[in-house]
Amino acid sequence: MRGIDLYSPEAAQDPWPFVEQVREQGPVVWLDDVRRWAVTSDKLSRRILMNFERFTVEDQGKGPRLFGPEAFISMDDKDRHDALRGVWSVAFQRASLEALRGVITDVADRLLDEAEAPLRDGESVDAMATVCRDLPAYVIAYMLGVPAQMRPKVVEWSDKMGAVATIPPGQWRGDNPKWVEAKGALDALADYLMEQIAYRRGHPGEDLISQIVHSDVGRGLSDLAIMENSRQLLFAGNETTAKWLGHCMVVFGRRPDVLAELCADRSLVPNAIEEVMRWEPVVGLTFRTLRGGDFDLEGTPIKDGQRLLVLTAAAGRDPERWPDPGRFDIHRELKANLGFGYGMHSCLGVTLARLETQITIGRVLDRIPNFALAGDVTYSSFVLRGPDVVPVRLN
Amino acid sequence: MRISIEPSKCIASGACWQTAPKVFGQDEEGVVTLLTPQPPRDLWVQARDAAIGCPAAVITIEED
Repeated sequence: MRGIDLYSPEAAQDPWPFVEQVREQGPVVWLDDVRRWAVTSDKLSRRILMNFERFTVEDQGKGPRLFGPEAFISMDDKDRHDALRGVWSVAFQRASLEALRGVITDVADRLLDEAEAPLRDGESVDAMATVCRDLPAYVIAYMLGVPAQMRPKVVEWSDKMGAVATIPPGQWRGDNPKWVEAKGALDALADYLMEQIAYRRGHPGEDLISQIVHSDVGRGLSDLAIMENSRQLLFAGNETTAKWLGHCMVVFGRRPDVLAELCADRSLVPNAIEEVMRWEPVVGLTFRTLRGGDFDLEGTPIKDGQRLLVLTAAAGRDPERWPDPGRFDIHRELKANLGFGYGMHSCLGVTLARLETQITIGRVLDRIPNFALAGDVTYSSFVLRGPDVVPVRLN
Repeated sequence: MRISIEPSKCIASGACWQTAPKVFGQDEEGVVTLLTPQPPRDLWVQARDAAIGCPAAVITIEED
């Protein structure tokens, strides 16, 4: 297939015609422009993502990398990966995260305070900039033990790093000002985290950095490795959740009937936000490289060394798993979609992301249930997709 | 102890069968399988840990 540009404004604004075009050609389709096999089937995507030995993450081609090689998100060696991820697995469990409910609600309320005043004055406010973008960043900064007065700075660095998702990897160079800004933020954050790591060695706390520094596996790691793993959390957990929140605001804002249902029955909120994730996913695809020989993928011969685009966005609308997949329906039977990945590298922060989104949408329903969209919504990336701005007004 | 699972919610993180390999397994697509719905007492701690550790709230445990 030719002429499919994942980084085009068209694909970002409305990916679905492109996705369905690929799916029409079959469950596994060679894309000339990116020289990769695109996979649109939910079943085959799971099979690939389960098989971490053959479908690898480490080497995805030329160019700079967002996550360093020491971050477990980049690892194929299961033992090494599990040892690192295992340090934080308890911190990200339901029971541990329940203790953060108060903190998350406070952050949501503080951000809504900023938005509510101008809204009540009849003004239009960008929900993305005032609420969605910074909520997850403040929460993870808290979990990392960043002191209160430094959190706004960390959030600012995180915002700049996040802009990288809209720049094609081929342009991660000095002549792209957005990349220069993002790189500056990545480096500044690295320096800050290295300081914090050194500090926590002598002053252990309950935070995530102290946990890794003072763990068995952490004792065998360089500060750089610890930093890359910590910075990974700031990157993997911010833009993603912020964009999920943005999608929720847009989808619910466009569906006053759904909004009314959610206001009347809060027990519908968890399923509703999962349906937003399925219907408007944030992470649209994930990359894999085949190693260890050729592979027959349900009749398609993949050659050793070839690369794949697992189109998880397409899997979320696979008619074999989802009846009438193009329809947004909060009353669907709750089933996992691939929006949080699958298998070994499935999202560590999924429970946190759900908690943040449920609480924030809950506070929106409490405080400004009569919100409505006040303008057009644009999207600038297919790979990591969310609304650029969400203009809202009160009815 | 009686265990039940909702496999359709599973994202194959592996937390359950790595924690309690005699209680939970996985099918060829990585989705959780329940090897023993009423495990013996010596597996109860592992089973509870697996339920707590599941990121997708797939496992429910009933204890009298």
